[in-house]
Amino acid sequence: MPPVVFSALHDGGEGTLPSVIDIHTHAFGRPWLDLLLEHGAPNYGTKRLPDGKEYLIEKGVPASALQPEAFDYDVKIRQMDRHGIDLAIVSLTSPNVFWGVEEISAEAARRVNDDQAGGQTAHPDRIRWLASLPWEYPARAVAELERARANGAVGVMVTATIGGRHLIDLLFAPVWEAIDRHGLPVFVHPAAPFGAKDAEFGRECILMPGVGFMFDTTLCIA
Amino acid sequence: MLDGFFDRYGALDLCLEVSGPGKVMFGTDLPMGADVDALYAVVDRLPADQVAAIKAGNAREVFAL
Repeated sequence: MPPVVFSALHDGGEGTLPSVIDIHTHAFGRPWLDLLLEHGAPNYGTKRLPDGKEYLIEKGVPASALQPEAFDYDVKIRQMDRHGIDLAIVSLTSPNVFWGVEEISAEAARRVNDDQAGGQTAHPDRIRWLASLPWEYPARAVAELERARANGAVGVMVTATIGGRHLIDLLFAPVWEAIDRHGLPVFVHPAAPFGAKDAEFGRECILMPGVGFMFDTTLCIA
Repeated sequence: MLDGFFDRYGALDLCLEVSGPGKVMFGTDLPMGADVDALYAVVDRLPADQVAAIKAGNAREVFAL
Protein backbone atom coordinates (compact mmCIF):
# COMPACT_ATOMS: atom_id res chain seq x y z
CA MET A 1 0.00 0.00 0.00
CA PRO A 2 1.45 3.44 -0.90
CA PRO A 3 2.21 5.95 1.89
CA VAL A 4 -0.68 8.09 3.05
CA VAL A 5 -0.34 11.50 1.42
CA PHE A 6 -2.60 14.02 2.99
CA SER A 7 -4.33 16.62 0.87
CA ALA A 8 -6.08 18.84 3.42
CA LEU A 9 -3.46 19.56 6.00
CA HIS A 10 -3.92 21.70 9.04
CA ASP A 11 -0.37 22.89 9.32
CA GLY A 12 1.30 21.70 6.17
CA GLY A 13 0.94 22.01 2.45
CA GLU A 14 -0.76 19.89 -0.14
CA GLY A 15 0.90 16.57 -0.66
CA THR A 16 2.75 16.36 2.65
CA LEU A 17 2.50 13.67 5.30
CA PRO A 18 -0.20 13.76 8.01
CA SER A 19 0.91 15.64 11.10
CA VAL A 20 -1.68 14.20 13.51
CA ILE A 21 -2.56 10.50 13.44
CA ASP A 22 -5.16 9.25 15.92
CA ILE A 23 -4.42 5.61 16.62
CA HIS A 24 -7.17 5.08 19.19
CA THR A 25 -10.54 6.01 17.76
CA HIS A 26 -13.58 3.86 17.22
CA ALA A 27 -15.96 3.00 14.41
CA PHE A 28 -18.65 0.38 14.92
CA GLY A 29 -20.95 0.31 11.94
CA ARG A 30 -24.65 -0.44 12.19
CA PRO A 31 -24.36 -4.04 10.86
CA TRP A 32 -22.10 -5.00 13.78
CA LEU A 33 -24.35 -3.30 16.33
CA ASP A 34 -27.45 -4.98 14.88
CA LEU A 35 -25.81 -8.37 15.31
CA LEU A 36 -24.77 -7.55 18.88
CA LEU A 37 -28.28 -6.50 19.78
CA GLU A 38 -29.67 -9.64 18.19
CA HIS A 39 -27.29 -12.11 19.87
CA GLY A 40 -25.55 -10.28 22.74
CA ALA A 41 -28.10 -10.60 25.54
CA PRO A 42 -27.90 -10.84 28.50
CA ASN A 43 -24.36 -9.43 28.74
CA TYR A 44 -24.64 -6.77 26.05
CA GLY A 45 -27.24 -4.23 25.05
CA THR A 46 -27.84 -0.50 24.79
CA LYS A 47 -29.29 2.09 27.14
CA ARG A 48 -29.89 5.84 27.07
CA LEU A 49 -28.27 7.48 30.10
CA PRO A 50 -29.07 10.77 31.87
CA ASP A 51 -26.56 12.65 29.69
CA GLY A 52 -28.93 12.00 26.79
CA LYS A 53 -26.55 9.69 24.93
CA GLU A 54 -27.19 6.08 24.04
CA TYR A 55 -24.49 3.76 25.34
CA LEU A 56 -23.36 0.24 24.66
CA ILE A 57 -23.86 -1.56 27.97
CA GLU A 58 -21.27 -4.22 28.75
CA LYS A 59 -22.07 -6.50 31.68
CA GLY A 60 -24.16 -3.79 33.28
CA VAL A 61 -21.64 -0.98 32.78
CA PRO A 62 -21.72 1.79 30.12
CA ALA A 63 -18.85 0.97 27.75
CA SER A 64 -19.08 3.19 24.67
CA ALA A 65 -21.25 6.08 23.60
CA LEU A 66 -23.06 5.19 20.39
CA GLN A 67 -22.39 8.54 18.78
CA PRO A 68 -23.20 9.23 15.10
CA GLU A 69 -19.52 9.51 14.20
CA ALA A 70 -19.07 5.84 15.11
CA PHE A 71 -21.51 4.88 12.36
CA ASP A 72 -21.01 7.50 9.66
CA TYR A 73 -17.59 8.24 8.20
CA ASP A 74 -18.65 11.59 6.78
CA VAL A 75 -19.60 12.67 10.31
CA LYS A 76 -16.34 11.26 11.62
CA ILE A 77 -14.30 13.23 9.09
CA ARG A 78 -16.03 16.43 10.17
CA GLN A 79 -15.22 15.61 13.79
CA MET A 80 -11.60 14.95 12.84
CA ASP A 81 -11.46 18.29 11.05
CA ARG A 82 -12.75 20.07 14.14
CA HIS A 83 -10.01 18.48 16.23
CA GLY A 84 -7.18 18.86 13.73
CA ILE A 85 -6.78 15.12 13.17
CA ASP A 86 -5.40 14.28 9.76
CA LEU A 87 -5.66 10.50 9.80
CA ALA A 88 -7.70 8.14 11.98
CA ILE A 89 -6.79 4.49 12.44
CA VAL A 90 -10.18 3.21 13.48
CA SER A 91 -10.94 0.08 15.45
CA LEU A 92 -13.92 -1.63 17.03
CA THR A 93 -14.34 -1.55 20.78
CA SER A 94 -15.19 -4.19 23.38
CA PRO A 95 -16.80 -6.67 23.35
CA ASN A 96 -15.37 -6.75 19.86
CA VAL A 97 -16.61 -9.97 18.22
CA PHE A 98 -16.29 -12.15 21.31
CA TRP A 99 -19.78 -13.30 21.96
CA GLY A 100 -22.09 -15.88 20.49
CA VAL A 101 -21.21 -19.08 18.72
CA GLU A 102 -18.59 -19.51 16.01
CA GLU A 103 -20.80 -18.36 13.16
CA ILE A 104 -21.87 -15.26 15.04
CA SER A 105 -18.33 -14.28 16.00
CA ALA A 106 -17.07 -14.78 12.46
CA GLU A 107 -20.02 -12.85 11.02
CA ALA A 108 -19.48 -10.00 13.48
CA ALA A 109 -15.84 -9.74 12.39
CA ARG A 110 -16.78 -9.78 8.74
CA ARG A 111 -19.37 -7.06 9.27
CA VAL A 112 -17.15 -4.64 11.14
CA ASN A 113 -14.13 -5.23 8.93
CA ASP A 114 -16.20 -4.62 5.82
CA ASP A 115 -17.59 -1.44 7.36
CA GLN A 116 -14.14 -0.10 8.19
CA ALA A 117 -12.72 -1.08 4.81
CA GLY A 118 -15.59 0.88 3.32
CA GLY A 119 -14.58 3.88 5.40
CA GLN A 120 -11.07 3.71 4.01
CA THR A 121 -12.36 3.35 0.46
CA ALA A 122 -14.59 6.40 0.89
CA HIS A 123 -11.85 8.48 2.56
CA PRO A 124 -8.51 7.01 1.46
CA ASP A 125 -6.44 9.91 2.77
CA ARG A 126 -8.20 10.08 6.17
CA ILE A 127 -9.10 6.56 7.33
CA ARG A 128 -7.11 3.40 8.07
CA TRP A 129 -8.35 0.51 10.20
CA LEU A 130 -7.47 -2.38 12.49
CA ALA A 131 -9.04 -5.77 11.88
CA SER A 132 -11.22 -7.53 14.42
CA LEU A 133 -10.88 -11.30 14.41
CA PRO A 134 -12.88 -14.25 15.84
CA TRP A 135 -9.89 -15.35 17.94
CA GLU A 136 -11.77 -18.12 19.76
CA TYR A 137 -12.03 -19.95 16.44
CA PRO A 138 -8.46 -19.82 15.16
CA ALA A 139 -9.03 -21.17 11.67
CA ARG A 140 -11.79 -18.61 11.10
CA ALA A 141 -9.61 -15.88 12.64
CA VAL A 142 -6.69 -16.61 10.34
CA ALA A 143 -8.97 -16.66 7.32
CA GLU A 144 -10.52 -13.34 8.35
CA LEU A 145 -7.08 -11.86 8.91
CA GLU A 146 -6.09 -12.75 5.36
CA ARG A 147 -9.31 -11.26 4.02
CA ALA A 148 -8.86 -8.11 6.11
CA ARG A 149 -5.28 -7.66 4.96
CA ALA A 150 -6.40 -7.94 1.36
CA ASN A 151 -8.98 -5.24 2.07
CA GLY A 152 -6.48 -2.84 3.62
CA ALA A 153 -6.21 -3.52 7.38
CA VAL A 154 -2.98 -2.05 8.79
CA GLY A 155 -3.08 -4.01 12.05
CA VAL A 156 -5.26 -5.93 14.47
CA MET A 157 -7.29 -4.85 17.46
CA VAL A 158 -7.92 -7.24 20.34
CA THR A 159 -9.26 -6.94 23.85
CA ALA A 160 -6.93 -7.73 26.76
CA THR A 161 -8.74 -10.98 27.44
CA ILE A 162 -11.00 -13.02 25.19
CA GLY A 163 -13.86 -15.03 26.62
CA GLY A 164 -12.08 -15.35 29.97
CA ARG A 165 -8.80 -16.43 28.37
CA HIS A 166 -5.52 -14.55 28.50
CA LEU A 167 -3.99 -13.62 25.15
CA ILE A 168 -1.14 -16.09 25.75
CA ASP A 169 -3.61 -18.99 25.85
CA LEU A 170 -2.42 -21.71 23.47
CA LEU A 171 -5.76 -21.60 21.70
CA PHE A 172 -4.68 -18.32 20.13
CA ALA A 173 -1.22 -19.43 18.99
CA PRO A 174 -2.21 -19.90 15.32
CA VAL A 175 -3.65 -16.39 15.24
CA TRP A 176 -0.49 -14.85 16.68
CA GLU A 177 1.59 -16.83 14.20
CA ALA A 178 -0.46 -15.47 11.31
CA ILE A 179 -0.16 -11.93 12.64
CA ASP A 180 3.60 -12.37 13.02
CA ARG A 181 3.91 -13.65 9.46
CA HIS A 182 2.46 -10.36 8.26
CA GLY A 183 4.44 -8.31 10.79
CA LEU A 184 1.28 -6.49 11.86
CA PRO A 185 0.95 -4.31 14.97
CA VAL A 186 -1.70 -5.30 17.52
CA PHE A 187 -3.69 -2.78 19.51
CA VAL A 188 -4.59 -4.23 22.93
CA HIS A 189 -7.77 -2.54 24.07
CA PRO A 190 -9.23 -2.87 27.57
CA ALA A 191 -12.61 -4.30 28.38
CA ALA A 192 -14.50 -5.24 31.52
CA PRO A 193 -11.82 -7.21 33.40
CA PHE A 194 -12.00 -10.43 35.37
CA GLY A 195 -14.21 -9.85 38.40
CA ALA A 196 -15.92 -6.80 36.92
CA LYS A 197 -19.35 -7.79 38.16
CA ASP A 198 -18.10 -8.52 41.67
CA ALA A 199 -16.23 -5.22 41.74
CA GLU A 200 -19.42 -3.34 40.81
CA PHE A 201 -17.62 -0.89 38.55
CA GLY A 202 -21.02 0.39 37.49
CA ARG A 203 -21.39 2.24 40.81
CA GLU A 204 -19.30 5.11 39.45
CA CYS A 205 -18.62 5.69 35.75
CA ILE A 206 -14.95 6.51 36.39
CA LEU A 207 -14.28 3.15 38.03
CA MET A 208 -14.26 1.13 34.85
CA PRO A 209 -11.79 3.26 32.84
CA GLY A 210 -9.83 4.42 35.87
CA VAL A 211 -9.46 1.09 37.62
CA GLY A 212 -10.97 -1.73 35.59
CA PHE A 213 -9.35 -0.87 32.27
CA MET A 214 -5.95 -0.24 33.82
CA PHE A 215 -6.11 -3.56 35.64
CA ASP A 216 -7.17 -5.32 32.47
CA THR A 217 -4.33 -4.14 30.24
CA THR A 218 -1.75 -4.28 33.03
CA LEU A 219 -2.59 -7.91 33.75
CA CYS A 220 -2.50 -8.67 30.04
CA ILE A 221 1.02 -7.37 29.57
CA ALA A 222 2.27 -8.71 32.90
CA MET B 1 0.99 -0.55 21.67
CA LEU B 2 -1.31 -0.30 24.66
CA ASP B 3 -4.44 1.62 25.33
CA GLY B 4 -4.49 3.99 28.25
CA PHE B 5 -6.27 7.14 29.17
CA PHE B 6 -4.59 10.23 30.38
CA ASP B 7 -4.90 13.93 29.94
CA ARG B 8 -2.60 14.81 32.80
CA TYR B 9 1.03 15.75 32.45
CA GLY B 10 2.27 13.23 35.02
CA ALA B 11 0.78 10.24 33.24
CA LEU B 12 2.44 11.05 29.93
CA ASP B 13 5.71 11.86 31.67
CA LEU B 14 5.69 8.44 33.32
CA CYS B 15 4.89 6.80 30.01
CA LEU B 16 7.82 8.60 28.35
CA GLU B 17 10.14 7.70 31.19
CA VAL B 18 9.24 4.02 31.03
CA SER B 19 8.92 3.56 27.27
CA GLY B 20 10.69 6.48 25.63
CA PRO B 21 9.23 8.90 23.07
CA GLY B 22 9.71 6.42 20.25
CA LYS B 23 7.04 4.13 21.67
CA VAL B 24 4.24 6.55 22.46
CA MET B 25 1.46 7.35 20.02
CA PHE B 26 -1.39 9.83 20.04
CA GLY B 27 -4.95 8.53 20.51
CA THR B 28 -8.22 10.19 21.48
CA ASP B 29 -10.66 7.34 22.21
CA LEU B 30 -13.27 9.25 20.21
CA PRO B 31 -16.25 9.04 20.12
CA MET B 32 -15.95 8.69 23.87
CA GLY B 33 -15.88 12.02 25.63
CA ALA B 34 -12.25 12.90 25.04
CA ASP B 35 -11.01 16.43 25.67
CA VAL B 36 -8.84 16.54 22.58
CA ASP B 37 -7.55 20.05 23.26
CA ALA B 38 -6.35 18.88 26.67
CA LEU B 39 -4.56 15.95 25.04
CA TYR B 40 -2.85 18.30 22.60
CA ALA B 41 -1.83 20.54 25.51
CA VAL B 42 -0.22 17.60 27.28
CA VAL B 43 1.79 16.67 24.19
CA ASP B 44 2.61 20.11 22.79
CA ARG B 45 4.69 21.18 25.81
CA LEU B 46 7.30 18.54 24.88
CA PRO B 47 10.31 19.16 22.60
CA ALA B 48 9.34 19.52 18.94
CA ASP B 49 10.91 16.25 17.85
CA GLN B 50 8.97 14.33 20.50
CA VAL B 51 5.74 16.10 19.57
CA ALA B 52 6.19 15.13 15.93
CA ALA B 53 6.98 11.53 16.86
CA ILE B 54 4.06 11.12 19.25
CA LYS B 55 1.50 12.85 17.05
CA ALA B 56 2.34 11.08 13.83
CA GLY B 57 5.90 9.87 13.26
CA ASN B 58 5.73 6.79 15.44
CA ALA B 59 2.38 5.78 13.98
CA ARG B 60 3.69 6.16 10.44
CA GLU B 61 6.48 3.76 11.31
CA VAL B 62 4.42 1.23 13.29
CA PHE B 63 1.62 1.04 10.76
CA ALA B 64 3.87 1.46 7.70
CA LEU B 65 1.83 4.41 6.49
